[in-house]
Amino acid sequence: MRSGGVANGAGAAASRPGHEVYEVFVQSSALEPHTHVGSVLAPSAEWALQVARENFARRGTAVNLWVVRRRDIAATPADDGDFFVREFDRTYREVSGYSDNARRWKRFKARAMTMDEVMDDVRGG
Amino acid sequence: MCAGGEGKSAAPGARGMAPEVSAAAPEARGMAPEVSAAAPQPAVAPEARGMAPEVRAALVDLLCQLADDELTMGHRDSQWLGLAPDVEEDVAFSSIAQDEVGHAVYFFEALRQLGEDHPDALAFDRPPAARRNALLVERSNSDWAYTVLRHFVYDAWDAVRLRALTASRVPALAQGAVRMLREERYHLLHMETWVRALGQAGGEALDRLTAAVRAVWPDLGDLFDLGAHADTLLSAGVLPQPADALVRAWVAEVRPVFEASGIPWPGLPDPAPASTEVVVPGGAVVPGGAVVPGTGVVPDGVVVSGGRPVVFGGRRGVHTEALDELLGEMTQVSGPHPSARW
Amino acid sequence: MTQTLYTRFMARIERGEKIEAADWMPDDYRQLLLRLIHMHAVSEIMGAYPEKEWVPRAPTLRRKLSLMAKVQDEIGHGQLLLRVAEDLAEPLGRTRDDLMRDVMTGRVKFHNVFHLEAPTWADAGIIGWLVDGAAIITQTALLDCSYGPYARVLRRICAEESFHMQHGESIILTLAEGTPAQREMLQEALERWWEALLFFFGPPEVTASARKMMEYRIRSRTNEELRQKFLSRYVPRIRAVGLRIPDSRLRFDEETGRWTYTEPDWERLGRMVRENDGPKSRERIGLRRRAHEEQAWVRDALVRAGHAAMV
Repeated sequence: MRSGGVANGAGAAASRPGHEVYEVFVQSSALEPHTHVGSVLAPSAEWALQVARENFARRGTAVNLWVVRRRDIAATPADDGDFFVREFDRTYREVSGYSDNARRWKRFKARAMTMDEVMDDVRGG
Repeated sequence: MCAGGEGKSAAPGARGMAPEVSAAAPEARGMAPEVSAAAPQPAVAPEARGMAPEVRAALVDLLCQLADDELTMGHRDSQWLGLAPDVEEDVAFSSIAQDEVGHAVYFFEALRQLGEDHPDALAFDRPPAARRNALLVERSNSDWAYTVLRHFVYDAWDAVRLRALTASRVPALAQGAVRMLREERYHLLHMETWVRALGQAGGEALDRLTAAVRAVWPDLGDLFDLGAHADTLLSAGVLPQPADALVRAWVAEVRPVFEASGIPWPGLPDPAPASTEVVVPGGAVVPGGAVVPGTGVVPDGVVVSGGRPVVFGGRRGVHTEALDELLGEMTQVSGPHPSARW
Repeated sequence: MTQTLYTRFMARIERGEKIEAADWMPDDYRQLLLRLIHMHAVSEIMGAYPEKEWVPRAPTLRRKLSLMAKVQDEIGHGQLLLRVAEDLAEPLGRTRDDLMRDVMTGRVKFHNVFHLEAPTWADAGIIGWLVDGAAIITQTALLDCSYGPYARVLRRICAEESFHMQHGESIILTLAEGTPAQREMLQEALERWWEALLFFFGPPEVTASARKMMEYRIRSRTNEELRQKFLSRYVPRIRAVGLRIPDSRLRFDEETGRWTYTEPDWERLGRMVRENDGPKSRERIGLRRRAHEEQAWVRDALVRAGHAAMV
């Protein structure tokens, strides 16, 4: 783990003296997380925000923008697949691990519930 | 009448109808439905019903000032495409240009609803003498310091004017102003940041900025002019604030930024509208006949005061050669093919 | 050591993984990518100029707005691509200013189509329709590029190009439905651009660097495959709007399933790109130089203002 190795970036050196690379994150609505969309070259965070607005949010909706100096980002190496590896069974923590519930409910003449159903019911009512 | 040229007065109260547009220009342009669909629909017409002729004339004049300012500023801005100091700024500046032209479209649509010509005809076919934009926005771009300083003082004026218009008795103006102010906020912020940065940088940047202030200042009186119908605009509640109140608000907006930028405050220029002198663009005195150089027409803004002709600038249809050149370019495609759609 | 890294790199490529800027990569991978993306970035920026000329002259408010938005997008694509190129160039000690200066010195080339004149409004239409159409085909073919930052930027670019496609078609359709003079203007514009459009995809032979790019999965289709796709998509539409394509040999061979066409003048058009001697090359490079050099004081001022604010 090291800093300066952001997902689409290289090292931390400025591409122009007095300027820095700022990574740009757009939030498209209050319920969405900020999403990385690219980077700008700017002399300060203030400028980065001002130009990022039009370079990355001129179409579609946006409710918030982040700019982060690239050298302040710590990232995992992109070519280290092992960092994220899941070798053994983890279906016990996923819906797909319980597909037999539906069949078993049938014995009791009842139907399995889904999360979507509950959400529709509770929020829609 | 700025919009229709001579003798094209429209019956007030004709809601949504464009009376006597037999000139075929609107349909010939062909883009009407798309423009209308994209633009917010201004609601002028109900107000136009039963509007006194002088109020209607004042409203048309003000809408032309607003539309022409925004179109001309947007046009000048668009000339920076591909030439801004950096690619990021190029993109940001172009959005501002598009916003300005978009606002112009809104005001042209409002004029159309008052029975004036099609927005494209208003934008492209009117001679300089029918244009009501301030001289400031028609000047050529010069350098980046002039560009951002001019834009800043214009945006500040626009914001002040729009704020006043939010209380207009004309719904299209009040509603449009609320929406435009939201977009203008970014323009003002961006230009303000530029002015501050150039000022704080000192050296060549500050020198250029100072030169830009000297170039912009003589045009301010013209910018602040509310035109030949200013009194009616105020008394009828179309623009419910007098020019001097707007100017005070403008100073409150602009002066602190000058101070933060290290630019000595130059003071206000003489209020041109109150003067009885002959005032023409470029400083040349036009003798009695008031024929404007470069256009060969007598502008309809000529008024007589104390026995002397008084010719004001942009708001009265008296423009500089920069506008001739701008319009010559703008109508290069549409001009020679009057019956074509584009 | 390098051998192991190389083997590991190639294994990743073959598994279809995406390579990122900070990852180890062979020098020639970096160089091939950098050359491709640098040229792509510069072409987007230089490509703004022929259309920019038409923004102040656009004949309606709607066209003015859409052309402004379109040219802005091109510059925006240039920005996205430049950032990708800058990150690739950084380990080589080269910055954005170097990459931009390469345009002026002729060290980086840009697409042939942007060296040409666009003398009428119909040329603005043809650029929007066919030049962008050709560019959309080449860019779409790069969407699966093995270099992650480029592939991601291309997704955004292609999404925006879908607006350009409609913009170009709209201008063309209006002219095609228009007066005889407008249709003639359109026909003349097509005749001006046709040969350059065929050239745009590059020579049919697969060069050594093209082969290498396929090996690295930077690209997966040959120039000729892309040109054939362009012809299949656009020839019927060009004819449908009543235009004549200025190539008497152009036809679709049912047996081979391929288009035959008169070869563009590879030598003449190639020289235009290599030596910047097209009719508008110098003028447009001059504009770029103006933007870069005349505005240098502005960029310096921002840096100085930043320092002034910190003390």
